[in-house]
Amino acid sequence: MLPVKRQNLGELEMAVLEHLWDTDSGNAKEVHHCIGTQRGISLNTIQSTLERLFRKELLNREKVSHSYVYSPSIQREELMAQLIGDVVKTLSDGKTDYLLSAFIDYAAREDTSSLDRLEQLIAEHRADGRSGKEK
Amino acid sequence: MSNYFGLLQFGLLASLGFAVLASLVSVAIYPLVQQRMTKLSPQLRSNLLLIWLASPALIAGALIFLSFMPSLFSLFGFVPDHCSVHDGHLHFCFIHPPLAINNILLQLFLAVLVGIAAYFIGTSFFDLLRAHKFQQQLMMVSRPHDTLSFRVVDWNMPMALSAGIRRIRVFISSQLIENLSPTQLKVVIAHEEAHLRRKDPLRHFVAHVFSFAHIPWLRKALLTDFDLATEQTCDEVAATQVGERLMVADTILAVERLFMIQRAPSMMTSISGSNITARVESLLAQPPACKAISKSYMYFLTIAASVVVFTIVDDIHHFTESILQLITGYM
Repeated sequence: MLPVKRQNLGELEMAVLEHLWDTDSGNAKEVHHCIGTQRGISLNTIQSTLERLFRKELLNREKVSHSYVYSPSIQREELMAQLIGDVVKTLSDGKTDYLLSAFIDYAAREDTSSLDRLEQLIAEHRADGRSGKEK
Repeated sequence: MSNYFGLLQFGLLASLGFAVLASLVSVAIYPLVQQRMTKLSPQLRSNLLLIWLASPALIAGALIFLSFMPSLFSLFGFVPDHCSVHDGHLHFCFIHPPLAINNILLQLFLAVLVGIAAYFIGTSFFDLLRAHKFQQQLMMVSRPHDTLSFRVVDWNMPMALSAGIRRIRVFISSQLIENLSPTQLKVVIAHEEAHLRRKDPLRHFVAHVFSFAHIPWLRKALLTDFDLATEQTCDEVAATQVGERLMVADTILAVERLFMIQRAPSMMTSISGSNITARVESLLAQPPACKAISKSYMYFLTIAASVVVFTIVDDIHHFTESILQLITGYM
């Protein structure tokens, strides 16, 4: 797996990468036609985004005629695995956990017997509710 | 000659004094009311706890402002300057600012105080940057859901969270989406969207930053209760939207079970422990009565508080001056 420098990727950079993962390769005009037009982004913006991704070593490029043809240097799964690794690392250090609102606390696990007891309680409440309705 | 440095020093000293006083009152009162507060609706409890957490900072800020008010009134010509009435006394005032503190120990104490404040502000700022970076990381590994307003993270762990301060977003892992029933997923989304609407990450930030003056064990207890009240508020919102409280309780347990199946270790060091039992038991109990406070009652309270404040503003001013004079031996 290629080592990816720890870096942040913007929304447009991710969109460009996603497009190139789908199409395998493309030049600036093709990428602009698929992504830039619908977003109202100029060809220059797409060109500089491709250039940035190339400098971040996420794209390869090859000069064909007068333009560069870009292709991903890393597979989607590889990049995602590394980025997920960063997410897990941030979650694990716990320094900003108070700035997240998680459905379930990532920091503490309940023991199985407690969960069994709570499930039993829910079942009893359900049964009470049903019998109450039947009466 | 004007000496606003002295005024700043005395202002800092007075702020610290008021904050310590407020935190000591908190320590005395909270254990007495903690149990009673659990009978309040989670939303009201969460709001009260947020105010309580920030109370030393809020009270110190308010009392300092009130202590300055008489001199502000004089400065803008609303009332005549009263400092000549008690000449030879420390003046906590913009018109006759006090001389800078020349006691080395007090100067050192104030320098340490400023250092501690700078440390808290600095770490909070870095926490904000970290949180922003974490949201960016989540944005990179996620994609918008096809039909619903959250982002999907392709991850084989049961994750559902709201992140961000300025623009809060909901992130749910693909594994959680695959393993929950449509109704359970609806519960998770409703719960997280409630966090989003209430701007809970921002409220948690405020709670952590402005609670620094509390005694550490009380701060921990207040933050734990605040976390629980926040989660219970969002559980109540989810229960209202789904129309079944037991389904919300079911979903909480289902997600916790998924964690266990995955053998997911605790990802962070918890300060509060698991709050699942309290949340589920609260959902099994009768929904808490939520009495709305009428607007006219609020207007009455505001007017009454304003009258009281204007009545005692001179006393607060003189009290602050006397205490500062006593502490510093200022002549």
